[in-house]
Amino acid sequence: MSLLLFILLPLLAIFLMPFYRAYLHYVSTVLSMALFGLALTCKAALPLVERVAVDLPLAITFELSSVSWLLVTLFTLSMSLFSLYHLRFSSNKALFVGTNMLLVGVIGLVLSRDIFNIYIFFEISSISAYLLTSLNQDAKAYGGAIRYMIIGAFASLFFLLSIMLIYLTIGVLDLQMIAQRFNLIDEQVQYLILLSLFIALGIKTELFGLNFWVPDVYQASRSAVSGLFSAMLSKSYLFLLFHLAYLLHVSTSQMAFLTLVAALTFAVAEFSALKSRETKRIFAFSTLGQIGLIALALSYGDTALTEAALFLIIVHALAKLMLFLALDLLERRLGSTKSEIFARFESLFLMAVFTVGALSLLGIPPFAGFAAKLSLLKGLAGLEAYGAMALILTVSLIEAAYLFRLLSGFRQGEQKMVVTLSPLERLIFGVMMFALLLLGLMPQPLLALCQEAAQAMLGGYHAAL
Amino acid sequence: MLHFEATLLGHLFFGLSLLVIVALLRKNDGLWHLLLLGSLGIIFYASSLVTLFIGWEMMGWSGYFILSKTARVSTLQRYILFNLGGAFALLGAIALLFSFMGSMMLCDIDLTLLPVWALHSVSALVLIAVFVKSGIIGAHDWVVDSYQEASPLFSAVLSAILSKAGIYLFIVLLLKQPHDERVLFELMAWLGAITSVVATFKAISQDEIKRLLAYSSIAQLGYIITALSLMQAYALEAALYHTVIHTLVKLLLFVNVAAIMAITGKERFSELGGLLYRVPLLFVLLVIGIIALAGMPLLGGFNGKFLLYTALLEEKRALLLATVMFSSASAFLYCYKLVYGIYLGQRPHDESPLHVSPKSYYIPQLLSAALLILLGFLPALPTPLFSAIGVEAGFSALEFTKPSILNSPFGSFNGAVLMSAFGVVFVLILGLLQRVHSKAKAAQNAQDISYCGEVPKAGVNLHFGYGMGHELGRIGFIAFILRRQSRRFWDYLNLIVGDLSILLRSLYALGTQHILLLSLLGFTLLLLGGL
Repeated sequence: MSLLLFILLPLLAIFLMPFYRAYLHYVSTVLSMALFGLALTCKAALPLVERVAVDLPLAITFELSSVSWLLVTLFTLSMSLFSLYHLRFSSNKALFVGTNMLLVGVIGLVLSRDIFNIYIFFEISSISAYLLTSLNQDAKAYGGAIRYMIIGAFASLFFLLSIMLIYLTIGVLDLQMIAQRFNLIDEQVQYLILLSLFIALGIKTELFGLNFWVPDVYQASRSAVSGLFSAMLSKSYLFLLFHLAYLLHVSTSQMAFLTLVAALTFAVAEFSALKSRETKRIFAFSTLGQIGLIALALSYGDTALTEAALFLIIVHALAKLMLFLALDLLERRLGSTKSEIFARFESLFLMAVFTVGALSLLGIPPFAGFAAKLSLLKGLAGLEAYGAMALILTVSLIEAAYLFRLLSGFRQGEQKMVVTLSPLERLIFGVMMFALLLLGLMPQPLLALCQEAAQAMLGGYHAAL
Repeated sequence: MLHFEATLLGHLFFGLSLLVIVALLRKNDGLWHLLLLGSLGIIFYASSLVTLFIGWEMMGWSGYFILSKTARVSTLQRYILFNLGGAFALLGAIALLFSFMGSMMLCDIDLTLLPVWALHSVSALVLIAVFVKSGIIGAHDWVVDSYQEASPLFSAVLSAILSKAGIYLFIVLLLKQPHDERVLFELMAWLGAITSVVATFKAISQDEIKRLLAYSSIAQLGYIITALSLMQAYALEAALYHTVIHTLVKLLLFVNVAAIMAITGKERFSELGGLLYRVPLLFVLLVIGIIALAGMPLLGGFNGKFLLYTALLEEKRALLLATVMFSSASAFLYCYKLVYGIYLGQRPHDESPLHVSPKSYYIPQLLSAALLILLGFLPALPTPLFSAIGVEAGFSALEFTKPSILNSPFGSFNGAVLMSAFGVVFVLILGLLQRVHSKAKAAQNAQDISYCGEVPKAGVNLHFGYGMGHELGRIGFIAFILRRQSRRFWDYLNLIVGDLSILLRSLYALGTQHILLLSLLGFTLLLLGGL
């Protein structure tokens, strides 16, 4: 079995599109579920390394370690749920191309083991993201897409700059080799490379100072697409940023800088959401906040915290995808995503979906977010990082303020529109809610996987500290 | 993930919860109440910190969803933010404890192993959670509105049971303190006492029945907190005793008020009055309730107060004792207001027809009245249980001779004898009054004050007790207390956070060119600055 399948199958599906133009939503569903199954079967064979034969330095190397396996599984699962949700709608070419390219992009980003290859997937995922943003084909969508494109191009520029500097100085592109020879580079150039990488990946990871564009793009996109961005795109870059940071053994002070940026990302985003009246924007801010939280945990380079961060990545992806899909459903029925819509519909099932999602985001037991937050706090306590603990707990209260304000909308309003869900939609949301509850009650199996993944991700990093 | 252990303390608290929630269970929101009961079970039988916390949070949000059926949005927000604030403080304490103990099990916690700063931090964080749940002054902002806007029966649950979870938390986590580090508990003792004074006066000045009861709850919790902070065997007994009594009393009073509200549809003292002959049984039950609430001798309520006073005396805390006695004596005023405002005085002018009282309201009241009377006869009945709980917590065993004799460091009294003597005297006086009453002439009407030279309109209520509590504002010291409002502080904080939010949000409205410029600027600065 080849890792190339993860890349080639979706691409092939896109190229063969003319043959099944009317059945794209079915193809997408079958394909993503097949890839999910494929990912599950790979578990036994980890770690897998595969080189497509071209001469060095241009060899294309893929590596499926425990951590990239975890992410690939998450991405294919998210994509499956997303496609299942879209089964009810008619076949849509742009959506098909965009989502499948995005899947190729994010899987490629976590699988690739050489930096130029990463750049290729960087571009693939970016282009598909621009395409997906403009899906609604109105002024707002195009505005958002163009804004996204300009900022994305800016990020690519810095990414290319760092690749160029690496290749000029040590003449290799393979990540392992770069890691071995990175010390040979002049210190100032090293710093320039790291800084360019930080700018490029910081924009994509949506870290503070580089993330001011995010809420607009999320707002311009369809809710479901925002869910996909939140569950897949930002998560793959988050992995990439810290994977490179660990691999290149960045110094303690540089890691501390990342901690600071992550803390700012978390706090500023949650504060900004407080007064927002637009649900999609609120969820976008909440995504930024959670990314900050995950980055905060990863920036300590500690096994327990990395484990917690990976767990949080999965839990947050599930919860956010669920919330965005539910919001998409409401947007289609009620034609708006203002927070007032919570007072305008009547559906016990959807209310439960929003409640479970919000409680999980907040880290309130018995839902999965709690297990994540608890292991995060335990990890921080183990490192005696009491300041970070205090920050997380205080800012969580702000998060609670806006999420519960959203939920309190349910009981306002007079003339409510009854929203009924199809059995398939009930199934999708039911499965996601059940997963969040189950992961909250029995987090150990997944935590064990995350621990394994954390060790693979850190590699020899904390040995250097 | 969940670990449980059966302890005597757990049995006591869960028993009380079971009593209250089963007594109040109704069909329409039964499911949520059962969830609430389940979460209380998780808290009271938890043997690990994580389990305890899970129960704690579930209690918070199941209460939120019950409350959300009747309360306003601002009240809901207040309820959830205060409770989550307390819960997050508890979570911080749990993580801190874990970092020193390396275990989440309750039995592994040994506070003496903590360095002083960590001990203080853990204690302070747990105390925040305790204070929020119990509504200690400063953290009580959510209590009164929530009690008022909850459905009548859910306010009984809130007051009788949920407020006690904080007491349990304190006993489980903080009671085994190293005795030389007690600065925080000194503060706690005074906070409790001040809470009881302030809340008592606030209660007297209320016109809405449920607000009065809410402030009275806060005041009673203040006594319990003061008792707990002393950390000795009799004080613990006092705290536990008071917890039991307060649960029974508030169950009785809130259900009584709920019945009145169901019968009349009114919830203000100024709209009620003169119901004595319409619902005499409710009147009798209420009188039993307030005798216990005021801590007057004979019914169970006295026993808790008696133990608290003697414990304070034994610890030679004269000033604290004086404060508690002051507030306890002032509490008579609001107790009287409850009886007077609803049952005595004259019927309001715009009298609306009475609905028939649902029978189910009587069962919980009769139950708790019976228990209160039983505790009057046998005051030391629960002492062996409290003693065993004290021993579990590391205190010496309490003196126990027989159930009718309650012992304290300053002597004992026999409840059975007292109650019997009281009964005889009561019957005698009642008979006497009955004789006198038979000769008395009833006033023609309440407006019958013609000898004053003026004839008031029919709608004017002239009874001396009408509007009681308004005059308090004229007493300088009490007016000062009544003017204090922690809400202003919280509103101000809310305003500042909101403004900060708007300020920070404007960052995300920057144009593309500005974002790029900022990124470049950051890049340049970092490049020049170096790391």
